[in-house]
Amino acid sequence: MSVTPYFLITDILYFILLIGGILSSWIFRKSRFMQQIKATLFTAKGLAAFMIISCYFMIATLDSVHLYVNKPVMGFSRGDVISALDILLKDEATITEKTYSMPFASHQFTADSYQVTNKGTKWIYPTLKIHTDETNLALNLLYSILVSGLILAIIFLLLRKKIKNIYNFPTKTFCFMLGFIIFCITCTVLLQGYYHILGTDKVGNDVLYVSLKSVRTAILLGSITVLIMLPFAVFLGLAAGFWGGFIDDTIQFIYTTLSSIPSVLLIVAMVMVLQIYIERHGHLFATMMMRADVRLLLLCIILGITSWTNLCRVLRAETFKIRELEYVQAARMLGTSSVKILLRHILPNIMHIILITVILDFSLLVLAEAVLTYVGVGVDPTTFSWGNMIDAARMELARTPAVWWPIASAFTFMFLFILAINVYVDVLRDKLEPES
Amino acid sequence: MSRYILKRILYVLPILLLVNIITFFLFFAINSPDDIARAHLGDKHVSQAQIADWKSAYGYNYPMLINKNKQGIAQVTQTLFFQKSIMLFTFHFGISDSGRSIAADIKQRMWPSFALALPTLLVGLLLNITFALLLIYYRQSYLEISGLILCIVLMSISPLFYIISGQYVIAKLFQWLPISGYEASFQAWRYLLLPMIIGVVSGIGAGTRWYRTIFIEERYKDYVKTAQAKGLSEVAILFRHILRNGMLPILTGVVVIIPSLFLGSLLLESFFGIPGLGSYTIDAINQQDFAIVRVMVFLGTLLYVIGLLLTDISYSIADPRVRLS
Repeated sequence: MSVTPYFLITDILYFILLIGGILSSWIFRKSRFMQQIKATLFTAKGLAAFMIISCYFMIATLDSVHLYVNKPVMGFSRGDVISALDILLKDEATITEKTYSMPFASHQFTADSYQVTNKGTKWIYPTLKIHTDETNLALNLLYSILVSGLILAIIFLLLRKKIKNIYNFPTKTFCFMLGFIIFCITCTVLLQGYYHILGTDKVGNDVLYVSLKSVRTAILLGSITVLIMLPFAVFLGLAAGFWGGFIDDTIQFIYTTLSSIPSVLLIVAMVMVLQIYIERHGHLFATMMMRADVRLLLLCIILGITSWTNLCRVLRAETFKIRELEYVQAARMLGTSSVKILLRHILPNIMHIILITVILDFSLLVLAEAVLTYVGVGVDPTTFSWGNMIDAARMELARTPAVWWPIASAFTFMFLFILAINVYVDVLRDKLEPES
Repeated sequence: MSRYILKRILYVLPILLLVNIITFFLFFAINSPDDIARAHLGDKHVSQAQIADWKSAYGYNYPMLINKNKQGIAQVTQTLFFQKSIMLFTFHFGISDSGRSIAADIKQRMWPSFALALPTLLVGLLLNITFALLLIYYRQSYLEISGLILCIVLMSISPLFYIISGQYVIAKLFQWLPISGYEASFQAWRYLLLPMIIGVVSGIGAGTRWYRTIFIEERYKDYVKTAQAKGLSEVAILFRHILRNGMLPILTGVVVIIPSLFLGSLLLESFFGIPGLGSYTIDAINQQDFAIVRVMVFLGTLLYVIGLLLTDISYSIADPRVRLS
């Protein structure tokens, strides 16, 4: 075997979360709550946002299947840890230039050397390693449009009967989004050996490839942090609101204390301390990748510790309100046990708050990653992330002509993702809390 | 009233103490002072004597919690916990790991931070409330829908993008304002204007939506219906009734952050080279200066807790029912 499976801790956690999420939505598919969530897919806005979010998650999932290369294969060298995404984008992953080049360029952005001719000095811009074919750019783009149109047509023909039978399905939006997504995929896959679609960055990596690899970091950071904070927030919030008294006082005191430390400073302090710890105990980690991975996990834990207080406070207040309602009083009068009341009567009624807050927190975490990385307490500098891309490229705007493409693509990828999440939450809120 | 305030103060003190204990363990239990000394002296081959020198120079040469070499009260006072944590309560911040007095630095740097943060807050507040009221005035029209969509779009943009693109377009391409820097005189406004604008713009999306939800809740209350039935104009209802009643939750949200304005903004200050506490913290992080970060955590908590106290007091003045419960 030239490759063997390779598991990172964050991969395992991510898959547990993913499978857990899919399983629970399958088990509860008949519940009113899931029906309401399903209703979001029958609005144009909700469907479009959901399709974009699913694409990002698909990329992250592909990128979380890691393989260890034992023998050089497909341009990867021995000892590399590659993911399924790398195999799909093998040209973008393996062909690296010397330094900056513009999107779709055939020559490097900066001159390497110059020649003195009788007309003056002539700068030489070396050609790129990639087989760029600038004259046929329009033709190539047309080709990928045709291919994606063909794929779309096939998919549509296959699904036509099914879609027709679904009442109220926003078919136009579905086709448009599907076409857009398929076009993006075909462009990336078909043109990968011929162009650097979004150019290359300072060390010559393909910007599109780096942006796509960063999706995993963003999603893992968000989802693992949520996984860590959720039990704290839900258990403590429910307990404080339901039992009151001493338990309530203690829990309130804990979250007031934690939230009175400005969260950025708390995160900074914790990450700084752990950074020194990792540096001093470097021998614990076999590879750079593992070290970066552990740092990502620790960052998630830290963010989890600092961000559960908000949800906890909201859940406590809501539980407190529901506890006083008549049907809960009635259940208590009938002798139902506290745990049963919590699970049967209270939890289902705060589920929508949990879901909406969690998704919003997720989007805030994705944004926070870039800021924290800029501040110097984010993910490892070797990890692909939008924050690292922005941090590396922000000084390059100062040169003339400006190098704008790495930073522009990092912001675009991030913006599209966050926008999709925010739009989806808006639709979800309409369906789950129609009264507001 | 004074009894209520005293009660609130008594509630706040244990919070500060607990925060102090948490940060102490965070900074000294995971990495011992020896580790910190080694990180600062840089090399892996540092002799024990060098570490001891560094520790005594920066005041780390104490045992953790109890000093057994001393007698009486000194057993407790001559310890790391007392010297580094409890002394923060008396505003003895000590010296930073680069040898400067932290208290003097903070005194000097808090004013530029405040000069940037206060106008940003006030202008932002004014704009956000205005936009929120406008959205309600034009509710159920295309203006509202497009306004709300714009809010979502603005919310989804990374704060870094606002800073980087603002700096690039306004300062570099058009050269209307300086890219970065500061002057400690009235000329400072030229340097503060651009970060202020960016700070306001980056908050508009989330702010407008937030205030809109507050006002919309008021909009459908009974007293508004009464006012409408009386024949009051929509503008009068908005300003005289909804704005006034909605001010209460807004007040609590604003008062709590006013003291924290002295801490400044990490991002804006470091991008625009403003010598405030935000850029001070960033520099400390980059130099791994634990002493400064520890003080900033304490100071941040203190200011936030003062904000909480002020909120409680102002709330109890605005709504006397609070005191009684």
